[in-house]
Order: sequence, then C-alpha cells, then structure tokens
Amino acid sequence: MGSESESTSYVRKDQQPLLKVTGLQKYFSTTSKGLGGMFGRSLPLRAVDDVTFEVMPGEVFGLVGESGSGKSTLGSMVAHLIKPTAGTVELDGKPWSTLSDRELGAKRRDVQVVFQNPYGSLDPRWTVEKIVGEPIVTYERIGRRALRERVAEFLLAVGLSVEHLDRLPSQFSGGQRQRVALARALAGNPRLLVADEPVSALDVSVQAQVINLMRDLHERQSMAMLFISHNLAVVHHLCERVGILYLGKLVEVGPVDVVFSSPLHPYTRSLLDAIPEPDPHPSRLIPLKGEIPSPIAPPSGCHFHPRCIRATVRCGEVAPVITAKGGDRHVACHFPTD
Amino acid sequence: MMIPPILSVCDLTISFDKKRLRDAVQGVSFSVKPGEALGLAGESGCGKSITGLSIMGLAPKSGKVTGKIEFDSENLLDFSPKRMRKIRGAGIAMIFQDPSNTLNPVMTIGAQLAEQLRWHRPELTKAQVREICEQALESVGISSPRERLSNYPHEISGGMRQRVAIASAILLSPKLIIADEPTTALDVTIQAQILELIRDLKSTLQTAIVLISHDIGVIAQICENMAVMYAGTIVESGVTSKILAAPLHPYTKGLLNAVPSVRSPNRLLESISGTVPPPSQQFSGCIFYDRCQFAMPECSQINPKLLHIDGERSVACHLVTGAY
Amino acid sequence: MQDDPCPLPGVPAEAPAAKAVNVATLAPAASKLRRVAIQLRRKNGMIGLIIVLVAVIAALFGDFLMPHDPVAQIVQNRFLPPVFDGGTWHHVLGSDNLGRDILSRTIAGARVSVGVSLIVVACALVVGTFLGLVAGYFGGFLDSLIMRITDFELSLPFILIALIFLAVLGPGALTAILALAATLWINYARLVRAEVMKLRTLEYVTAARSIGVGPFTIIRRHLIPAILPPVIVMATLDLSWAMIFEASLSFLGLGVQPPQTSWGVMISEGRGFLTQNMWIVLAPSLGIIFTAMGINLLGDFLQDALDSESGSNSEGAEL
Repeated sequence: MGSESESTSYVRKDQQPLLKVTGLQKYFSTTSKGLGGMFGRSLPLRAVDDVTFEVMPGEVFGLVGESGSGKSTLGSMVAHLIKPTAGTVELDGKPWSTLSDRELGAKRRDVQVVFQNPYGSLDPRWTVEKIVGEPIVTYERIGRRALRERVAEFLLAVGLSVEHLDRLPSQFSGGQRQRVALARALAGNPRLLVADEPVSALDVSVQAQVINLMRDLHERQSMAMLFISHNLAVVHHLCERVGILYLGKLVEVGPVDVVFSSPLHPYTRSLLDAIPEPDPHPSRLIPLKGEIPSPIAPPSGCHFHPRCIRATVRCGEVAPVITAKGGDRHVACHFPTD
Repeated sequence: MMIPPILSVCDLTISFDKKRLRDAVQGVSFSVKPGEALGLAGESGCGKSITGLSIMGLAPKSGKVTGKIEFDSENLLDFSPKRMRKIRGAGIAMIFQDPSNTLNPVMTIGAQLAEQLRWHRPELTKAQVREICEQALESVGISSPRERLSNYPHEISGGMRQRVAIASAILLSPKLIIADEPTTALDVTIQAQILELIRDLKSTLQTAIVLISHDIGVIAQICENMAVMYAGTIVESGVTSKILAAPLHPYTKGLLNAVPSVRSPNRLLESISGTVPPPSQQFSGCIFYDRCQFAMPECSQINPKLLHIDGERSVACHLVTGAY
Repeated sequence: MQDDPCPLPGVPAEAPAAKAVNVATLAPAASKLRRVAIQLRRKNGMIGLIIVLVAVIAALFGDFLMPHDPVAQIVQNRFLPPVFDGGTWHHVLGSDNLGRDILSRTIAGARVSVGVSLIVVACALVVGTFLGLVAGYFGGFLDSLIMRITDFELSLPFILIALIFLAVLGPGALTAILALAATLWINYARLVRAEVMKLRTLEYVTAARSIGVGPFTIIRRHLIPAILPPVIVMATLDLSWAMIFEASLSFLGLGVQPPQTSWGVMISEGRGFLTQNMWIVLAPSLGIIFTAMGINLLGDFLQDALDSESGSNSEGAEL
C-alpha cells in the first residue's frame, strides 16, 4: 500500500547543518523611469531580502513562494550560480565565498541542480550518454566504456533504460527529459540536490511518477534536497520541512505537516485557502485580496500588511523579525496565530 | 420544463492525415446549458484545447472537422466564415491561457476593447463605446477603470491582464464562453480571485461556460458537469461531484489518485504506468488498454462507447458498462 | 436527459468496423507540399555539391586539365573564335587578345579565385569566431574592447582598407587576402557574439556551470557546436562574396598581378575586347556565377545536415 503517516527522516538533531544560509540578500539594480534613471538614481529590485535557514544532511526542505518571492534566485545562490549581494551560503560550515578556485570546483560537485524547464536544461545536440556523463567527466578521468556503464546505472536508477543512451533529447517526452536531468544531477554524487520547480511543467500523471521517483531516490541515497516550488501540494508530498517566502522574505518555517495543518502566518493561511482541491464538494476558496506587490517597491514594514486581514498600524511601520515559536517553528509576524 | 442546452456538441471528430495519425478528437459529445459550466479535463495531448478551438471555428485549417456543433439551435459547422466572424467575440467568446500573448502589446487596453466592440456594433458612438468598456472593466473587479483604459498590457500585472481578457470576453454579453486554462499561468492566490470572478459572472450573466483545464481542482470549483478526455475521446462525463466522489473509469481513478493534496496525509502518490500513446498509434480496442490495470480480453478488441450509466453519468468502459 | 438533442448511444447503433491494429511508430506524415520541398532541398544540395566539386577539381588539378599553358602568348592566334562559332576544338572557347587559350586561363583563374576566397573565409572565420566567443561569453571589458574595434573598422570603407594594405604591401594576392579577411572577420565576430549571448542564458549552459564545468570547456563542448550551423551558412555566403570582391580588386589592379590570372583579372583584361571575343569576359563571369550559386546551394544543404538538433520541439502542442 505504501502510505506513510510519518515522513521518514534521516536527520539527527546533533548533526551539523549541511547547508546554512545566513542573512542572504540579492538586490538587482534597475534604472528608474524618467530623468531619475539618467542621473544614476536607480531603485534596487529586492529579490531576496535577508533570508536565513538551515538544511540538515539527508533532509528534504521545501521553499514555497509565488512570483516575486525570490525562491528561484535563492536557489541559484545556494548553488552558487549567482553571487549574493550580502549574506553567506555555507556548505558543511564553509562559505562559498571563501573557497579558492580549486576548492570551488570540488565543492560544486556537492550541489547539483535540476531545473524547471525540461526542454531547455538539456543540450539538444548531445546524446543522453553525454548529458548524464558530463558531471562524471568533469571531475574524473574515466575510460569510455566505464563511463558508459556508470551512466547506464544512473539511467536505470531513474527508471529509464539502456537503449536511451544514444538518443537525443528531442526524442523524449517532458517527463522523460526530467528523468534525464535527474540522472545527470545524481551522476555528480551530490550531497545536496537543488530542484527548482522540477515537476511544474509536467502533466499530473507524469508529475506523480517523478515525485515518487524523487522520494525513492531520497530514501535510498539519503541525499538532502532543497525543493523549490509554488505548488504546496507537491511540497507536502515530498518535503519534511518547509519555508514560505513572500517578496524576498521568509515568513514562516517549520515541519511541513504542522505548517500546513495549522499555519502561523496569515500569508501561509491564505495560500492554503486558495488551493482548489478536487473534492466532490469543495469548500469555497477564500481569495486573498490585492495584487502581489513589485519587489522594486515593496510595502513598508511587513511586506504583507496591505493584503493582511489582521494588519494594524504597527504592521505598516515595523518589519517583523523571524522568531522561534517552539517545535522547530519560526514565523515573522506581529500577530501570528497561536 | 427543461431549458434546452445552449451548446450541443455531437460526435465531433477532428482528423488530420487519416492514414498515419489517429484522429485528434474522436466522437466527442457534450452539452452545456445557459448559466452552467462544463469542465473539460485531461492532460496534454488529450484533445481538449483543440475541441474548444473548433467550437469557435479556430481549429487548424488542415484539420477536417465532422459532426455537429449546435449553438443556439444552429449548426456552427454549416456557418460561412462571415457568419462565424460575427459570432466570435459576440455570441461565443474565448479566454486563453496566457494574457500576455492574447493582448496586443502595442495597443492600449481601451483601444483593444473598443476595436472589438466597434467591429460587432458599428452603430455605437465613441462615448458609448468608452462607457461600455469602463463598465466591463469594473465588472471584472478592476479599480479605476478609466485610467486602466489608457494603460498598455505590460504596465499592469498578470492577474489584471487576465481580468482584461475576461472583460473582453464579456464585453458583448456572449451566451457562451470558452476558457482554455484561464488560470494556469497565474499565481495561486490570484487564481483564486479569478475563479471567484468567473463564478460570479456565470451566475450574474447566466453565460454558459466550457472550462478547459488540466487542474481538476479548478474544475471542481466552477463546473457542475465535467468530461474527462484521454487521447482524443471522452472516457467519463457527468455531474462533477458524483465523478469526484466515485470515479468509474480507470483513467479517471488513476488521475485523481495522482493529484497531490495539501490536506490528506503524506501518502505515496499512485501514478498511472506507461505514457500517453503517440498520435501515430492506432487502436482497435479501448484506447486506455495498455495502461489499464483492470483490462479484460475484450478491451483490446472492441472500443467501448460512451454510454449512459444513469441520468447523471456516462462512462466508456467495458468493465463499468458490463456491470450495469 | 430525454430531450437531449445529441443522444449518447445507450444502445450502440452500428458498431464501426474494427480498425486494423497498426502500431505505426512513424513520424507524422508531412503534407504533400512539404515532402516535395524536402526533396527539392536535397536535389539543390546535390547540384550545389557538384558545382563546387567541379570548381575545386579545377582548382586542384587544373594543371592536368588545361589543354594549353595559360600564359603562353601566341600572337598569331589572337581572337580565335570558340568551337561552336566557327573555331576548332584546339581552342574550345577560343583565344584572347594575346592568343592565350581562354579555357586554360579560366581553369587557371579558378585556382586563384577559389583558393583566395577559401583562405580569406578561413582566416576571417577563425579570428572572428574566436573573438566573438570571448566577447559574448565573458562580456565586460573584453566585450567592450572587441566591439569598439569592430565599430571602428566598420566605419572605414572597404576600399580604404584595401588601399592601406596596398600601400604597405604592394599589389598582389596576399594584399587581396589580407584586405578581404580584415573586412570579413567582423561579421563572424558579431554573429557569434550575438549567438553566444543568447545561448549563455539557456538553461543547459547554466546546468553545465552548476555541475562545475569550466568556461572554456563549456565553450568548446556546448557553445561551439551550437554556433557552428549559422557560422557555416555565413561562411558559404561569404565564399561567394570573397570571390566576387577578389575579382573586383583584381579588376582594379589591386589584387592578383599578371602573369598570375584570376577571374577578375580576366574580366578586367577582356573588357575592351567584348566585340572581338566576348568569351574572354563571359567564361570567367560564368565561372563566378556558377561557383557562387553552387556554394550557396551547398550552404543551404549543409545548414540542415550539420545541425544534429533533429526533430522539432512540438511536445507542447496542446491538442
């Protein structure tokens, strides 16, 4: 039957965190319209604004947010594809920024990325063997035949077969391409897998296959995962802990079951209330009013206050700090549900 | 006293190159009453989008469309191109998935709405046109509609653009709206707003709606009836709440089990083994045979037809209809 | 649903004949018009290939194909007509103002014209592509520097560049090659830079970076195969361009000098003798036209053949 009431966790509380993100910030510069732009006055786009969290070895951590939340930028910084404007990303206690070029190369192997777009993330001119083999040949000297065998192993691990080795990406469906992307990520033997919306572009039944595959891989290899998605339901099935992002700030963090069943932050509550479930008699959705503000000019104080039903004057003036609430939960709100 | 349906699709078949390809849509039939919504559910390649397009007469020209599409008691397939153009935007309107693609980026919103209005009702004065456009924007929940009329699409958010697309759809009070994945490109909180809007419009304007979506949750929110499509055919149709409470067709069951949920406990998702058959693959029996865990010998020989189970449901499955 | 205008079959009326099971895994059939277009493409490619082969053979093995010494002047034989106009098979296309055999000179000219254009394009391609890759991938100061150089050169007219080389090196084949290559490399640099800037943002390049692949390896293994098709196409077009411009340079006396001959030189020399024997001009002109055409056809064909990105991205086609 395979249903589990408790997610299997490989996390021991006394361990050092595998990934530690501290005060991470990424501002992009934009030129403002009109004369202000000409004279150098530009408003920064605050994609990620002072984010702090940890991922333990072997843990699956979900990052949830809508557009403008900064989740993809955050993922890119964790994988060291973009340099942060401020703050640090530490892997096993060592920040990316302090590594020498040589150490950097070796460290990259520990963090592999699976991207959202199954059609863009694979080089269309390369065969599957070459694609999946790329991380292996980057770090090892390996003979042609040995490489082929190793690649075949990874293909089998993701549910593909040996006959796919010599095919081109164009001959595969979206779901199969994501499997190839997964195989490539695994081939690097990473300790942390950063998956940025890996199933969003897939059909429901294919999505289920890939999610099950990722669960399976996580269990077999106790690999840590940073799973970035806008889809809370998918996060619920895969992740042990979850962080909710709104306009570049982390508003709530905690174990996924608890956060989704009794959220502390009003935004988390709104997100949950907005999900249409395929129930025979679904409850009417309670839409959150207002638009998502632009990250260029976020609201003062708590970014969420214009749309929050509990907002007071204080919420518009003072930005709440993320505080611990017991049970490994954190929330950034002046009036969290208690 | 039964209200007749405003739209009746009978045995719709769209084929391309007969010899090599399976028909894109095969023998699809459904109907919608005024003020009601029908959801066409399915995954990519199932034919739901092209069905929606063909109702508007916008299916690719290389496709041969047969069957009957009865709208307001007339067969649309008999209409001349000129008559179809009169119907589009006025009698039947369409909302597409990505408003950034369907709104012209170099025209203001006001200009685009006005163009549509004037084409169908050339007798209106400029002032009347502007007023109707303003009212339409207001009815879709856009504040300060007068200012919005002079905005360009890129100056407003994605959610607002979709509202504008809906405003364009209701501008001439159509009797039928076809919405093809109207909320798929939107954030989940914005999606909830748009769904509420669509639901309100349905009841106030008594428009019939055909909602095409891969998201069954969205269909459950809006549609009284639904039809599940697979590889070009309808495998199950009927009252939405009944289907979701107890799906009968193995594909429907598989699909619903594969949808992850925030509410139920952390369970293993059941996935349907195999993949959707490519368009070149022909079948003599049931199109779902290869992937069905309940397959029986006759399933590979005889294609099950969509049959009424009771007044509210129909299924195309030997396992189900044999038992009845 | 009693008054259902479109009754669903409660009882199957006539069961349609069982369709033959035909698990065809063929690619979707193209319409008739498309199939013809594809065939025509192939044929064009073949024609192009044949023409180019003829020109290359003429260039390489000219010495064995020429019936006469192209520089041998036999003044008594001036302006002999071609064989189909009253002449003999001794001089198939007749002879020119100095009694030299036109056919032999055309073949000899092929060597220079084709050879020069190949060298020119090869040089421009290598230099331009390298600089374009560097500018496009690394951006920043290098990009600005390279682009300013191209901007500067673009502002100079071609003739001026040619004259500069002329002043330094004197007339000759080398001058022509350098002048042409110096003008041409810019196109490759700009084309490659634009392509690389586009490709650099594609996810598979980001994926390679995330794996830890170094920039030069990325350029070598991912970017070069991707830019090769448009570069090849440009190269084939430029071969024709180079041939024609070499002819212009030689025509003006700035390029190849006698006794060496090229098609341009022949046209230049034969200008004044059109009434006596137009074949002095016509033969090399036809040589240029056909070779240029053949190269273009071949380039067209190569573009499709070289790009291994077979199959279209039609997965997302929502039916």
